[in-house]
Amino acid sequence: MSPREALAKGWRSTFPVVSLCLIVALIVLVTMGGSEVLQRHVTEMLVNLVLVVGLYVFAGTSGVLSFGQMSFMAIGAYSTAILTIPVVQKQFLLPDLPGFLADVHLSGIPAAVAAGGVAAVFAVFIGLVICRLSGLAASLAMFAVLVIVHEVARNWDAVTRGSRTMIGVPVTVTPGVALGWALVVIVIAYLFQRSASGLRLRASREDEFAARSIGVSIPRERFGAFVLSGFIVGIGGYLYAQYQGAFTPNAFFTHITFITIAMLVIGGTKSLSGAVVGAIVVSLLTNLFNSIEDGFTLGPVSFGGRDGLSDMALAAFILIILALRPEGITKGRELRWGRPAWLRRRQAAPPGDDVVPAADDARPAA
Amino acid sequence: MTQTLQHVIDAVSLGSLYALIALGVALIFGIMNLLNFAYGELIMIGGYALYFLRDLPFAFQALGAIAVVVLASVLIERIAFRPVRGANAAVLLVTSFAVSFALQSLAIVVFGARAKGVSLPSWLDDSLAIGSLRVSSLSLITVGVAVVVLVTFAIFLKRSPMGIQMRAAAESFGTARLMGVKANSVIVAAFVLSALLAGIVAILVVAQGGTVSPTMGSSLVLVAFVATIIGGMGSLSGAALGGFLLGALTVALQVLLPESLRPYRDAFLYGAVIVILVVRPGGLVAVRSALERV
Repeated sequence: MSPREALAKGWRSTFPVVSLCLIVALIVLVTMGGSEVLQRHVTEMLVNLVLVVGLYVFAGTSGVLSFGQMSFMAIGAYSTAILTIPVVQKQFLLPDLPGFLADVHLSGIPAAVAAGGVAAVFAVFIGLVICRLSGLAASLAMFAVLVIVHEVARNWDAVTRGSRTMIGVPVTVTPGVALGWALVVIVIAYLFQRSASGLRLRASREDEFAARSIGVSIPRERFGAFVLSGFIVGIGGYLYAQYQGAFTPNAFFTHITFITIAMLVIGGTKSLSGAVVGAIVVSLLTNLFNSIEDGFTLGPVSFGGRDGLSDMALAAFILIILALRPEGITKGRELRWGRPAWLRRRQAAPPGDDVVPAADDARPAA
Repeated sequence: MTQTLQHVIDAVSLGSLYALIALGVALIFGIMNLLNFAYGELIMIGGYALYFLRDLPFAFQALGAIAVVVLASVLIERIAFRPVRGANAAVLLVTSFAVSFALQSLAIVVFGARAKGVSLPSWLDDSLAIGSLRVSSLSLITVGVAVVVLVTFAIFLKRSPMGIQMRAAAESFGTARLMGVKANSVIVAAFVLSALLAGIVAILVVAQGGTVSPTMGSSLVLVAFVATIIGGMGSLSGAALGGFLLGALTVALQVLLPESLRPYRDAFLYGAVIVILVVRPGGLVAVRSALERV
């Protein structure tokens, strides 16, 4: 391979992740000088993005849709609260906290990594069971995990304040901080999906039996992805906690679960680009419809802020996108360098593109 | 002794309700692989229909509510599910989630988020004394309705031409179509039947709680999903069995757990669900056609 070819190949293989990072960074840069509300919307979008990328690392690469990945968000968020609320404040917010937790205090990157780490440790235990199940049984078992974590968070007064609001978490997450984590997470997810383990897992997603026949141990590959996903979603929980400053167990239950799944499916389940695009598009639409809902006047008719209208519009939009593009906006492909697909149709696929061909390249080039 | 009998009656009655709900979800899941979230909202629509028709005699109120639910179900199938028919399970799931979200929001826009009281005839909620046992007539009615509905369904599916076509479609949709089963009519029939169940469940749930609210269906539909899947994917008898089992487990945990652990009841319930899934990943009643073949 000539240096020129090697360079071209390197560019092709890094293009998806570079372009995704640029898109996300660009959104933050463009909105930098905007109002406080806009800044909040952007931060919220980035938090969602981290959660959806975390979900993608397991659900997207393995093809097993998980209804319970947000339990890791809950664990990340509560760990963040316990680790970052100043010790003095903790004494009256959480008076019954076990000794060593009462005295510990972290902030910034160590706190985020610790929150992700606690979620990952939990994922190790859960994953040993979940990764042996397949298909819907796994999805539903994860839902059961979500319910269990929710119930525990709602009742374990000493550590989670029960169903009362957890307050006093330092608010440190600005658009800049969230952007940093979003970029880190996108790069981690991309490295994972191109790693040997990621490739084996994606092969098993496309054809379970063919993958097994070449010696892929599906439970083992899923387990790795599951723990990594737990870590990333845990960091999402950290970001959420330090962005909101206060939350209840209900923040990590069915609503966020289905919003993140919807984001992933709308973007395209099978690609990282899909996860990122889905998170951006749905967050944008939500905010757009919310601002419309706050009331506007159209000729003689004035629409007061009526609750529920924005959710209806969002739901209608999701239905339209899915009816038009059942495989999601990206159709499960990564962004790629070169002419768009509709121009390339008559050409043979460039050789040596990717070790696991994307679904559309799987047909032999006739 | 009386105490135990009381708990058994509670368990059977809750189980009957869950079985009815699970059956409605399983009917559609078996045929088109769709876990229908919007099923909960059909129950909610039934509730609001009861609220609307509250001035009519009960028979008309109930029949009217069921009719409204059936109409809504057929409309939803036509507008939302037909365009994505045959897509993979995740897409179908998110579609049904969007439908459920839209209907809930619609209910909030039209009726407001707060619950509304609906009074049904008092004989639904009487409490009967049998010996030293006090039983609410509603739990007897729930069990009775469940038995009648399950038997009717079993006969319908076993004997009637449409029932046979539906079972064939559930077994293998493609093969059934090659044999001349009309895809549209089977799917619409499934949506109608599942709506009939939703209407009946709506009446029972409203009679029990006395209120309707935009979110009244969402927790019920989750229970139905769990029942459907632990029962055996796509098996109707499995779904009913799963419903009864969940109801029984819920009551048993409520009774048997020590006071301090009682708030964690659902955590234990779902822990048991995980155990069932691990021990029998194909469900309690494994369907042969659902086995993965190489």
